[in-house]
Amino acid sequence: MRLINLFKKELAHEARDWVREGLVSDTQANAILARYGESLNEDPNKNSFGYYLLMSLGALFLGLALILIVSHNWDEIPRLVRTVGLLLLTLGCNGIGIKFFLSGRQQAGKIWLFFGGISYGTSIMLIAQIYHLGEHFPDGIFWWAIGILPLVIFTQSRLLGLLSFTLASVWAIVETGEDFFPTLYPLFAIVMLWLTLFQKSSRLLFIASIAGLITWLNLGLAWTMGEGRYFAPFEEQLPFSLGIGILLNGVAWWLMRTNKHEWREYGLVTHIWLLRASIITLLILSFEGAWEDYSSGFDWLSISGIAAVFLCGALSWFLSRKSGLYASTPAILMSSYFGCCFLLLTALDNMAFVTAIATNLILVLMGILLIRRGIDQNQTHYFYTGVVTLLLTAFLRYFDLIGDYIGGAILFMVAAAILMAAAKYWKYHLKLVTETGKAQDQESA
Amino acid sequence: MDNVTMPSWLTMPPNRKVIKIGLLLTLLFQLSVLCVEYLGAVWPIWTGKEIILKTEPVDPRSLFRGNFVRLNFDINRISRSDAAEFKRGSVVYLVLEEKNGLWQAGEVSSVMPTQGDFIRGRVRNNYGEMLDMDYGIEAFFMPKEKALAVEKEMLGTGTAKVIVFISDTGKARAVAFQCIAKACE
Repeated sequence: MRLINLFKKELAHEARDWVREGLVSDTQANAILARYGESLNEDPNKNSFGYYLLMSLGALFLGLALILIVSHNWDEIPRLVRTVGLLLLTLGCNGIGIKFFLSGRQQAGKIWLFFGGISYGTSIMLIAQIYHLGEHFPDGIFWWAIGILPLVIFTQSRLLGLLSFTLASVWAIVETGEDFFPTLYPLFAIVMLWLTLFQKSSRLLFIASIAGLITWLNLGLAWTMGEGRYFAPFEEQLPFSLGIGILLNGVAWWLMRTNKHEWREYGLVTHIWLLRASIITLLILSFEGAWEDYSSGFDWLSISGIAAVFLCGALSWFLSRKSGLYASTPAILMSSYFGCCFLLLTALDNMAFVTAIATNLILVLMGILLIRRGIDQNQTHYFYTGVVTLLLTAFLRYFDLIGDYIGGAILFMVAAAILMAAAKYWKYHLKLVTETGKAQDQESA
Repeated sequence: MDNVTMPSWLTMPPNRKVIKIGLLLTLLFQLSVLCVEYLGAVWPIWTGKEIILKTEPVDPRSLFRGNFVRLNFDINRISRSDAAEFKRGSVVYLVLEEKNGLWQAGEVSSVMPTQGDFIRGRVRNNYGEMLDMDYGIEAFFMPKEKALAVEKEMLGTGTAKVIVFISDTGKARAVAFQCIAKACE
């Protein structure tokens, strides 16, 4: 799937100008837009969206005003009056929201329910304040988030989904900060995935749910290692996390092949973010120190970590193989490279130096592949990502030499040899393509 | 292109009747959460016994909950040789003994005592022979100016006495400062 799909709204806007200027006909413009799941008639002025957005922001600001009132400590009014007032506010806002929603005014209903959701949360916090409740305070945020979650299911509102998931993520962060494991967090992520995959399209919620689930899995591993009493992060978590990333890339390629337009977009966005994340990870791992913490010696944890990398690589390859070489090669390349690095570190002592060098060479290889993909598929994003990857690698290695000056120089020479060999191959490949093209032209003439 | 077919229950939005019942139940759930929170807060005050605890207020402010003074009670830290046996996050009961109008720490147990005054808490941490416990009364909310004034007054003697209610089950609720700093002498 091409990157232009992420800019289809802008394309539809441009197409309307082309029709107005007489460059293309209505039918032609619609035929072009249909390729990207858009049409000329689809919400042309975006007035309804603009209205919805401004009203939602208004409701949010009202909610923020309410929270500020809470923070000011409302001492003058008797406790019971304050509590009843809060209950009535929550009941009133949600009641109006439900009435509007059921009577067909769905957008107005969702905005009232959004405001009702904020009132509900503010009430939880204010009751805690009125009665000096000093109990584990993340519980308040959890009850706030879970109280809004059913509204997401019944209204399929992305706005309420965003509110519930943001609160759930804040809860997960503060719960973890207080040294407790946010066990129920996946419940929120699963509802958001259901919403985005089967009901409404939202790239933000989809990516946020996936990122949240991966973070939760990592926290779960650390919690398990702490025997369910505290977080005990361990070095072997790295292969597990990398394996999940590789597998997710396979899933992204599978999504890009499906017959559902939204799913193809999700796949593309996931793939792009994974690409960025993988470059950052590789740049971090290109430092020798990043590998030094990984302990050597075989035990069940190190073996299962290495096995997870290879297994995820195989699954990722299986899912992406039908999408072509640009899809399946990274699955094999990355899982083999990571698997071998961890195997080396586990089997032998002082191997961080070797794995850091290998990472630098992988970065060079990745840069070349991205530049080639960018030119092959006429996509500047991949081309420039490849160029930036190569430049960043060179920059980092220039200022942070691996080994001494000679070691650094050797690394640069190897990288230069790979780049030149790639350039030569490219030239040869282009020549071959040009000659084949000429031969075909002559034949047809 | 891979064709993906999903069961209809996953892709179909709920019908109008389900939505109506679901939305009303959600509203009921939200109100129930608020009512349970309210009743849990007032129950010890309605049914419990009044005691006085010595404390030391520290660190006002909270992003989510407004301004408050964090109270550091004498009973928050208990010295015990078997501190390691109490699991983090587990519920414990601290027997309280009155001495000169102040309630002080007695025995700690993971089983609810059958008689005497006691307070229900959770183990926050255990290190060495020290048991760190929370009783849900550690935050005392007040306007910013008051909170800062309390903090200012505390400079020097660093003491305060807080009126707390404890229910039959040991659940505690702080209601007011009895005195602050020099006023406690």
